[in-house]
Amino acid sequence: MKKLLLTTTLLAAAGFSVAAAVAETENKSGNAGEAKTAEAPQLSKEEERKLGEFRAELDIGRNMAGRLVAYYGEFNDEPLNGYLNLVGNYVAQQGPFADRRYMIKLLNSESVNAFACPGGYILVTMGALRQAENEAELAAILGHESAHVGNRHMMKTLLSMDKEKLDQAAKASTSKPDPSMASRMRKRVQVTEQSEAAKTLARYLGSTSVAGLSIIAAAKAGLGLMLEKGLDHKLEFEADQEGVKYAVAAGYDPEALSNFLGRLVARQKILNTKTLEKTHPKPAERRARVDQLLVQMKADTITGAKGVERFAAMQQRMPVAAKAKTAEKKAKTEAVKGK
Amino acid sequence: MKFNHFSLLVLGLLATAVPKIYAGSVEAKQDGVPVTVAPDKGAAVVQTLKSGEVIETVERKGMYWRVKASGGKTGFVSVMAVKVKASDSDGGSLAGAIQSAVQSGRSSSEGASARARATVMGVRGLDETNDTSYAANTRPNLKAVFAMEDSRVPAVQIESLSEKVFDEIAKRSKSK
Repeated sequence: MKKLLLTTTLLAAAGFSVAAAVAETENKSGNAGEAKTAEAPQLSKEEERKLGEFRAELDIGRNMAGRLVAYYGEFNDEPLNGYLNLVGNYVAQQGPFADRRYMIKLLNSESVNAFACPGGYILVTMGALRQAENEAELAAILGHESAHVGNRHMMKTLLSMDKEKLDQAAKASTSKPDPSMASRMRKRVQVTEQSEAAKTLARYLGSTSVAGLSIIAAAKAGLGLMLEKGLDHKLEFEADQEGVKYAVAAGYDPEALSNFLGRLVARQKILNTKTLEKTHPKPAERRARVDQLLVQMKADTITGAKGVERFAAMQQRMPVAAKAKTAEKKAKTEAVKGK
Repeated sequence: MKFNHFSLLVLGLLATAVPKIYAGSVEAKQDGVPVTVAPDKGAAVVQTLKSGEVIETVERKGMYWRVKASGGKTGFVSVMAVKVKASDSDGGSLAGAIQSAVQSGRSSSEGASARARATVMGVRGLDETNDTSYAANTRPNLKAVFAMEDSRVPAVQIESLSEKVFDEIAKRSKSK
C-alpha cells in the first residue's frame, strides 16, 4: 500500500493529480469493499462498473459537501429536510439513475442556488426554496440536480482537467478573501478548534495519505467550479432538460421549471443570484431552452400536479428572511400610519 | 385527448428517436387496465392488466406511460390507471451496495468518525459577500454530511407521495 501511495505521490507531482487521486480512491475503496461484496447480492458487470464509479466519487463529494455546509451553514429542520429528500428521491427515481443515492440538505443561506456534489450530495439554499411557489417547481430543481449527479457532470469535468487547470480552479475559491468574511471565519474556526472533536478532525485532514490530500485538492477545485467558474453551460442545459423530464414523469406540472426561471428573471434586481449567474447560463436563456423542450414534449397536452398546499406547509417552516422581515415591518408601519 | 394520424406518426417517430430516460415500473390500480398500441383511448388493446399487476415503464408520453407489454411489444397505459412503484432510496441490489460503500468508506477513511461527527459548526451560515473565497478553506462539516448519508426515504413514503400527486392530476383533469 505504501508503495502504491508513493507511486501516487510521484504521479500527482508529475501532473496526474485528479486521475491519480481517483485511481487511488478506487483502489482503496475497492479493497475495503471486497469484504462487503462477498456478503452482498451478486452484481452484474454493469452494476459493478457503476459501483466502482460511485466509490471513486464518494470521498471527493463528501469533502465538497462538508465544505459547502460549513461555509453556508445548514438549516436543521427534520421535517423540511425529510420533505426535500422525499420529493428529490421520488423525482430521481423517474430518471435513468434511480440506483444512485440522493442525499439532500437545506443550506442556511439567502443566496439563490443549489449544488450537486459527486456521490449524490445535493444542497439547496433557503433562498432558492423561497423563490419556488410549489412542489412541482421544487421537483424540477431537484430533478436538475439529480441529473447532474447521475450524469456525473462534476466528476467528469474534474477528470478532464490537468493539474494546472485544477490548481487554477482551486485558487478561484481560495484567493483574496473579503476582509469582513475573513474576520467572521476566524471567529468560527476558533470556536471549532477549541473542541477535542475538531482536533481529531484536523488530524484526519492533516494526516491523511497522499491520496487524501489529492482528494482535498480535487474537492477544492470542485468548489472553485461550483462557486466561481461553473460547469460547461452545455451540461447545465442538459440538466435542465432532464430535470424537467424526470419531474413530468413523476406527475408534476411540466411548466414548473420555466415558471421558476421566469421568476428569477423578473426578480433579478432584488435577489442574491450573484453566484448562480456567475456559474450558470443566464436564467432567461435557460428558460428559453426549457420552453423549446415543452413545445417538443407537447406539454400543453399534459396535466400535471403542483402540490401547492404540501409545499406551502413546508416552506413556512423556514424563518422569515431578514429582508422580508424589514419589508413586512415597513408595510405594517405604513398601514398604521394610513389608519 | 384527440390525436390525428399525423400526430400519432410524429409521436411514433419521437418515441423511437428519444433515448430511454425512465426506468421505473407501475402497478395497475384495478382489473382490466388496457395496454394499447398507441397513446389514445380508442387504440387497439394489446394486453389487459389485473389489479396489482406490475409493468415496466420506458418513458412518459403525455398522459400515458410507454410500457414494455407482453411478448416484448411496446404499449401505452394511461397514467391515471396505474400507480408508480417506488424503491427505498437505498433499495435494490446496486443501491444497497452503494449504501454499503458509503458506510464502509466512512469507517475506513474517517477512522475516528464518531469523534469527528461531534464537530459542530451549527452557527448560522455566512451570507455571500463579494467573493466566495473561504468556501474551500473551511473545515468540512462531516457531522452534517454523515447525517445526510444516514437519511433514507422509505419506498412506502415515495409511493404515498406519488398517489397524492396523481390524485391531484385526476382532480385537475376532471375540472378541465
